[in-house]
Amino acid sequence: MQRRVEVVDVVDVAIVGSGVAGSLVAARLASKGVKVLILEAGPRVRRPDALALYRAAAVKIPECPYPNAPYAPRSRSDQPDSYYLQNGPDKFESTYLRQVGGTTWHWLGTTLRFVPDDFRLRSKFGVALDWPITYDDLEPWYCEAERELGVAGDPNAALDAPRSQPYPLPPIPLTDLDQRVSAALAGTAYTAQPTPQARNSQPYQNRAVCCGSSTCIPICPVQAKYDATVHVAQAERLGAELLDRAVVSSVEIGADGRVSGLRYKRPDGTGGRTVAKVYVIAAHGIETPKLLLQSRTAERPNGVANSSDQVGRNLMDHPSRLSWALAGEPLWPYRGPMSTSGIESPRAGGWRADHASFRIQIDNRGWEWPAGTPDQTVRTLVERGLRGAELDRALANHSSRELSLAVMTEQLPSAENRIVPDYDHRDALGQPRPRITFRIDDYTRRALDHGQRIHEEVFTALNATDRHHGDAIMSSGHVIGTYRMGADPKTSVVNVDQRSHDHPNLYLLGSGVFPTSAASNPTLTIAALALRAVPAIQQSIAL
Amino acid sequence: MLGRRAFLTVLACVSPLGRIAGVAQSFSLDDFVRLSSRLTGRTDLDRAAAAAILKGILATPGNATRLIQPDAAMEREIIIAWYTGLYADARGERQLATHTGALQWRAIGVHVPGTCAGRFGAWSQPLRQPDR
Repeated sequence: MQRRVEVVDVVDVAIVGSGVAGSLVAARLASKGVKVLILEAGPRVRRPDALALYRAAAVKIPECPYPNAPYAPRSRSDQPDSYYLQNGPDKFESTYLRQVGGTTWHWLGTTLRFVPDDFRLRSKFGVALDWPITYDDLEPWYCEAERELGVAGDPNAALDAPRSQPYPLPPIPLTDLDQRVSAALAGTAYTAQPTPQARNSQPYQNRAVCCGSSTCIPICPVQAKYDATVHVAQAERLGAELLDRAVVSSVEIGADGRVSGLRYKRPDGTGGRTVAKVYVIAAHGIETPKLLLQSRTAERPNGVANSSDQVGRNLMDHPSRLSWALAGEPLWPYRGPMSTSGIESPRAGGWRADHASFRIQIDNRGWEWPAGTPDQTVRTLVERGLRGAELDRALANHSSRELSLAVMTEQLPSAENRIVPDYDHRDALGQPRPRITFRIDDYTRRALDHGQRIHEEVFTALNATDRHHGDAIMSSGHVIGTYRMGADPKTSVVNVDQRSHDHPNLYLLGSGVFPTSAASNPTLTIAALALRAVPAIQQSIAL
Repeated sequence: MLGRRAFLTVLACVSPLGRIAGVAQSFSLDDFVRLSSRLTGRTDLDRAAAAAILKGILATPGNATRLIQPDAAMEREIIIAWYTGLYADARGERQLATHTGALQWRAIGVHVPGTCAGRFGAWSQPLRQPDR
């Protein structure tokens, strides 16, 4: 669509970002007849094009199938300094995508709910802060989110998160590896639980069943794994408009304290302004606070929605460490979805006054993540002089016994861990790039140690050899906590409805609102919270 | 010994030929497939993958000559390229020759990542050590 400079769109609700939060809200509102415009910084992506880029990539990082547009640049997993400017002391390595459908294009698909204690860390353990809502407040919305995303789950899995309704889809079958690890854990203090996942075990939303391509990250070739293009398409069918390659550069505030418009820039040098009754910013944990902060004016030198000075602060991830070993018997990895079970009880551990909760992801991809297999195994064996049938046998023997485990921990909010716009370093459209300060504290590091001790117990139960415990702290791709939700306007950015304390017609959605990170993958909670905001957004339209 | 045949085959399948013309004339795609079969022990090698790997190897100056009488290092490079689908360019950086043609997945007995693996839930069954 060609637009001239200073085109003004007038709608009921303007949504910035077309990821899971923005697209879910757009579809819900459009279904009720609300006039919605979604502004997406990145382009539309066609799955066949993305698959071709994936196949052609020499290094198959999560971002390899997707554009990195100069007008909407982003970080890369293997180049954490390519977009972020890093103050340290630790590197922030989690990434996200800027394109229609957002980062759900390359999410794993894990849809664990948080556990009740995640919402009351302060009152139960004296640590950090409580959420302004409880697990029970969110539980009905978890059920709705599971229906929207199409979650396949085992009703008998012990996940410490009570359910009022069944999973919408029957479970994804466990891999042979899962079953062998689970059997070996009998007699230990730990159990492997089937992972709930937004992956089709039967046709759902006109999408196919999982065909076991094993590339959930970077891309599902058949869209058996949910991604937000499902709800983008639904929203558009219901009448919502989506403008791609529209990079929102400022949020304007009127004399009455309400948001009065959004300014955006386009790659061709044109731009526009969107005026709405209600504004929703759902551009994830880096771009949302950056936009709010760079919208500073003489009247608001701290930026928009920032009377608390909390915008951009409390940046969190799920810091992770890997361990890998060769099991005593073949487990036959490299098949099925990338992870289908985990050790989940440490998410609800009673030790949270001392160190973080965590989960242990059991990987179905052999040593691919920690050691770059099978390529690296091939190199080692060939250098050793093996070839032909002998090489094949040795490669199969090694690969079939590979197991890797990843402890993924909660991280406490810290005001010092923050993202700010760096006005001295700008992208192709002249937007400031994100500058990040990030430190992983001892509360989290003690949990990483605890998790790796459990890894060792699992290896022992599997009679494993060649045991490795990585020292490196890995990112999980989870960007959390930069516009926190709370009851007190002095210490939080949005209220329980995820509405700005400062501007009554501004909503901020996504994992940025999480006051604490919990240890579970964030997407289902992002979706549940977004759905929970819809009635409040509707009320705001009428005001 | 590898003969001087089918220069035109190489011309059709391997570029940039201009930089290696003169030395590459003696080494055809057929020659490379035969050499690869000897090194991998497989007779059913994919010709498109072979062309891509040969092109990658030839992109490094000097490799055209090395292919005629490959030393142990060149043989290992060819085997690694066939199994991983990757080759090292002149700067030592890994480049992709073939994704679906990489032999390592056949050797392990699993599907190529990103391609459908067959029946839903097949991953829940044990896998037998693959036959060659």
